[in-house]
This record gives sequence, C-alpha cells and structure tokens, in this order.
Amino acid sequence: MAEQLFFYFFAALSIISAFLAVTRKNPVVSVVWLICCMFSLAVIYVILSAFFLAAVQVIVYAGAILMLFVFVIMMLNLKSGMIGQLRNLGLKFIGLVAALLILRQFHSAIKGADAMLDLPPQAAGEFGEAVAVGELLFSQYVYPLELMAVLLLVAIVGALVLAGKEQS
Amino acid sequence: MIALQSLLTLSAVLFIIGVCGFITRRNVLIMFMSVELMLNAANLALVAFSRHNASMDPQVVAMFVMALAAAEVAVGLAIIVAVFRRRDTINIDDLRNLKW
Repeated sequence: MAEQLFFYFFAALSIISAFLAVTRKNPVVSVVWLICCMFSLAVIYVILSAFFLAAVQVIVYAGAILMLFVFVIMMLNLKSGMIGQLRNLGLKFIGLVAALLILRQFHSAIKGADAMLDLPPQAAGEFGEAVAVGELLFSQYVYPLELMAVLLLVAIVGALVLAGKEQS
Repeated sequence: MIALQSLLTLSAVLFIIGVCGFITRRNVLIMFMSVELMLNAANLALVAFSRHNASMDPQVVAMFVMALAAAEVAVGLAIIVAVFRRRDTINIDDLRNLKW
C-alpha cells in the first residue's frame, strides 16, 4: 500500500514538474523543474527495485547533465529579450496534433499490458544492485560498453573543438 | 501492486510532454531539455519492463541511454555555445541558415 501511495505521489510530481519545465519562460527555472522531475523518476526506479539505476540517475542526470545546462545558461549571459515567449499559436496547434497522434499510438500499444507488478517482495537475489548490473555490463555487454567509452571520448573532443577558444 | 499499465502511461505522458515542448518552444535550451525528458521517459519504460520480466538487460540498456544522453548534451551544448558566440541568439527561428 505504501509503495502505491509513493508511486502515485511521485508519478504526479514528475508529470507536474515536467510540464512546468517545458512551459516556463526562464531556462533556469526550467532546469530546476527538470531536476525535480529527474529526482522523482529516481524514486520510481527505487520503487521498481532498480537501485543502481536510481543512483546513476541522480548522479548523471541531476548531478552532471542538468548542472551542465545551468553552467551553459549562466555562461551565455542571456538578456531578458532573448528568452523567447510561448506565443506562436500555429506551433501550439501542431504540438497538440502531434501529441494526440502519439497518444493514440501509445494507447493502442499500452492497452494490452495488463500485468501487475507486486512490489514489496524483492525480485530474486540482488536484482538491480550494482554488483549484478556491473557483472552483466562487463560480461555480456562488454563490447557495447567499450563502444560507449569511445563515444564519450569523441563527445569530449567534439565539445572541446566546438566550444573551445575561437581561432580567428 | 502497481499495474504495468500505469507505469507505461506515466512514461507515455512524459514522452508526450517532451514532444510538445520540443515542437512548441523556440528556445534552443528548452528544446534540448525536452529531448532529455523524452530519453527519460524511454528509460522509465525500460525499467518497468525490466521489473516485469525480472530481467536486468533493460537496465543495462537504460545505462547506455544515460551515457548517450551525457555525450549528446556535451556536444549539443557546445554547439549552442558556439552558435551563441557568433549569432548572439538562442532562438531557433533566427538560426535558419546552414552556413553564414
């Protein structure tokens, strides 16, 4: 029962904060709401007993990615005129139509999934803990892991090339 | 007991909020945040199915998605900074030329 209450509370919190994140005018406020959304998703991961992923969610998303956003927003030093308004009606209409179309697709996809997840009893053994995820990551998924390492290296180099000192 | 359906619905709603934000907002930074939101919605669906099937593989995939998001954010924000230096704007409507 407690898990259910937790789940519905944090699900509502994540939806509300996601909505506020995309509708606020000021990007800094948006980032703060998005951090709130990431934290509530991390709580839902804990409820689903994906403990390691919840920790990674907080560390990588809330800690690294969104902090990077905040740094960039501060660095850009936006004047108030540059922060765009939400006034384009045509775009809002297109957004609504796209949302309805996707909703329809998702609805037909989700309709069949009527399973129940009984949450209090943990899944077998050390499900979702760092040891189990790590073992899987370094045995079965070791080549994707190495490729991901190369990708991150390329991303670092690319970011330095793009945003580094301007060579005039 | 939580229905798998409600988890998937939450994931779908977050994804749709992300899509709407991406389409309606003209601020590059907020469009980028909407993309992050969509990636997170996908992660949530992966974790829900991981719990449902008692299999850890989707969690590993979710880890890869997070690493991909980190790489994407690093490059994307670098592009935004570079564009802002040259054009002094972050409004997507002002950035229509492929070359200037």
